[in-house]
Amino acid sequence: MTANLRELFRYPSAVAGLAILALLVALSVYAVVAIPYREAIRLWSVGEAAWPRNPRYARPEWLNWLAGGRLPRTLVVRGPQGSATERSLGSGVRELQFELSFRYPYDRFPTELAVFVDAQYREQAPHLELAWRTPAGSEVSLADFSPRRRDVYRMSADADLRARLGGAPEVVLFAAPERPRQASPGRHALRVRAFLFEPGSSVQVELVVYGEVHGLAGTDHLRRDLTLPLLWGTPIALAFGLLAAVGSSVSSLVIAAVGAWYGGWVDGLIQRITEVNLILPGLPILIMIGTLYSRSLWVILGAVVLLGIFGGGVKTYRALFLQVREAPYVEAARAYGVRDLRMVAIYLVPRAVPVLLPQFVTLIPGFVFLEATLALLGLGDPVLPTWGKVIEDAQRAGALYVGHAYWVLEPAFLLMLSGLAFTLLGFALDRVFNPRLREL
Amino acid sequence: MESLLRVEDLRLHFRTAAGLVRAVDGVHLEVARARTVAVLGESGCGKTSLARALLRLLPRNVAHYSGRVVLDGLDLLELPEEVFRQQVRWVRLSLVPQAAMNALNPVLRVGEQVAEPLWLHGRVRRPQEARGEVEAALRRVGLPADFADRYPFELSGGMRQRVAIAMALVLRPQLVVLDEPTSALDVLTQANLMNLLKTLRWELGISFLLITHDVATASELADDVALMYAGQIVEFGRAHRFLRQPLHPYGQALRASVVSFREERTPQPLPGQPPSLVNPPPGCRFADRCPARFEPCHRTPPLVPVEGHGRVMCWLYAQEASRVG
Repeated sequence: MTANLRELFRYPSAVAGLAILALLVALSVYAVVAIPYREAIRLWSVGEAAWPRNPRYARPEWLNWLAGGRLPRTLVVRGPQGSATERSLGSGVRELQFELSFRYPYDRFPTELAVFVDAQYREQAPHLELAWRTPAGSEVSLADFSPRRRDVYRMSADADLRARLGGAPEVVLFAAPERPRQASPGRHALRVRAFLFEPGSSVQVELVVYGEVHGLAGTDHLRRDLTLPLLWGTPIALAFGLLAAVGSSVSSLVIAAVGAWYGGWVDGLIQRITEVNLILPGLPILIMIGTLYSRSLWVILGAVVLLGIFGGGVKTYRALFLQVREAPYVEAARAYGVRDLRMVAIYLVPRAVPVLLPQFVTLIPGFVFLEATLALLGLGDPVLPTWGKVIEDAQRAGALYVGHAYWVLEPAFLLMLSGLAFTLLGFALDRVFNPRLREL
Repeated sequence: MESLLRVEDLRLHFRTAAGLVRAVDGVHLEVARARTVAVLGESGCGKTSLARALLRLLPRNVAHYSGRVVLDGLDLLELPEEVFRQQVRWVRLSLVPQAAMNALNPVLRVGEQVAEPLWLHGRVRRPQEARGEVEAALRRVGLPADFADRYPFELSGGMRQRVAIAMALVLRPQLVVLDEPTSALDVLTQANLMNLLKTLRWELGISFLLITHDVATASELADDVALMYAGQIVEFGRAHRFLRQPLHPYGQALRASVVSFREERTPQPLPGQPPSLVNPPPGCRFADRCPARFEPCHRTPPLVPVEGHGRVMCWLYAQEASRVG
């Protein structure tokens, strides 16, 4: 075994495959440790409410290296801070005034504007008046309203404001006066006047100027950070591929050995079942299971394994075992009284491991891709964040048509990377275990 | 002399696409206790099939299997398969198969391999407990005990052959069938192995049935020789007599074809081919190649006892016997 391992390291493709694989495994471990399973599922299924401050359709932040830093990042300004003025208006009513001021450095528009309000009161909610001061000094009144305890005022979605301004607020407020198609860098401010009606009442305001980039992987249409499904997709993809490959190839190996050893009607039955199974179309069956029964990844995994047991592997391994069955050592074993089951387990099956191992490693990416295929057909697991689900969402949102290439390319890249790792490793293993293919 | 194994009219025929192969066709044979019988014959004459028939290791295409094989009072053909497996195979009668160097499971260590029969026959509860017996068995065949931890591919052909012999002896059977134990080995290893077998026979009092095509091998070890031709034993007798003065014309031709140390003569090749076992000719099967062929040879010859020699299946001696009688 150690000799085989040393032999394996002689192949650069094996080293590369193992390195990529190690990276994927490290990612998986990191995902599972950093984001516990329940938390991952909660964040993924809650969607927008879990990350309200993330921009939608944000590209990954590192794209800024290529874009020269022109893509705006999300700005968050909190208040009141320091310069708030408070005066009493009598009969317990107080007026609180403050500004959330920030410098906007980009010449591209923000994607959205929103004000998050955190109000403290017992019965009567405070009243807020919001106004905007542009770098040019003009002041635009935005809205007045009584917030609930936790409220969001999405300026960009305020149809009234839009009509008053004659365009989307994030464009009109940020446009350079001389070049209205470009944002002008400069100091903006959100002016807040709050009327508090109760002694203990207070208000916290947070202005979010949504940018175009977010995090390592960007976000999707539900403001979800894509690092979550990309990270968590790794262990799921590896586990799915590995379990499906182990399940189907090991069981077909054993079944082929049993058939080849016992022969007669046992072999006949196994062969007929295999032949019938081989002409059954796998994908439609999986689609049927997904549509009519359950889309759970583990149910699908079970179905894949069941369909794989009597797959083409049975034929391949049987051909091998029919040879091994006639080997002198098997004949000798029959002479000293080895019984059927032991013969299959100790004398036949181990002989196929050198054939099984490379084949098995090259099988894994097929199953990883199958998960993505099913997700793309709308049969992905309803709760698990997977690479396939990301591609599905992107496809539904028409990501490639509206220029959100990152959304499709990131999971596709990871899929290709894992496929590459297993294929590189598999080819090298094939050379190690199949001496005829060995390079001298 | 008391015989350990008595074989009477043993037949083993196979079904093939070409027709019925009469590989073993009416074999009579005896092996006495602590003696070695060499079954001598050219390749394709049914020697290995004879070994299979004795151990009831029948291939799937058996057409006909009959006769009587009595080992130590037990009629082997009458026993149910499971009883045969538990009480006879390897316990009383074991086999060193042909090409024994390939008879080891490549994924088992030598020690595990030798322990297999012990475990399978319930001598130890777990294969690991057999360590002591395994090491003793390896030492008995002249291998260091620490070979138990090696894999077969780490051993040379001769060593593997020894392991196969150790395995055959590990349950102390009364009779060991050695099927071409020295074929595919170099002459030096052959000699080593023959010496080993001689020692074992002396030390353990085991009977051997030595199947070989090599007159020299037979002469090394055999007490008796059974000469096999086309599925039949055509001559059976003491080895020293047979080697000096065979009765059957086939035996004589065989002897003439072998180089001898003791006499000054040119080896004479034996012309012709042995007959096909698919449809053996009626009458004497050697008749076509026989220099002494005469009129009655188209009928099956009887098995004639010859005074001081044993038995021979040839009309020449039947004539003599009847003339004398």
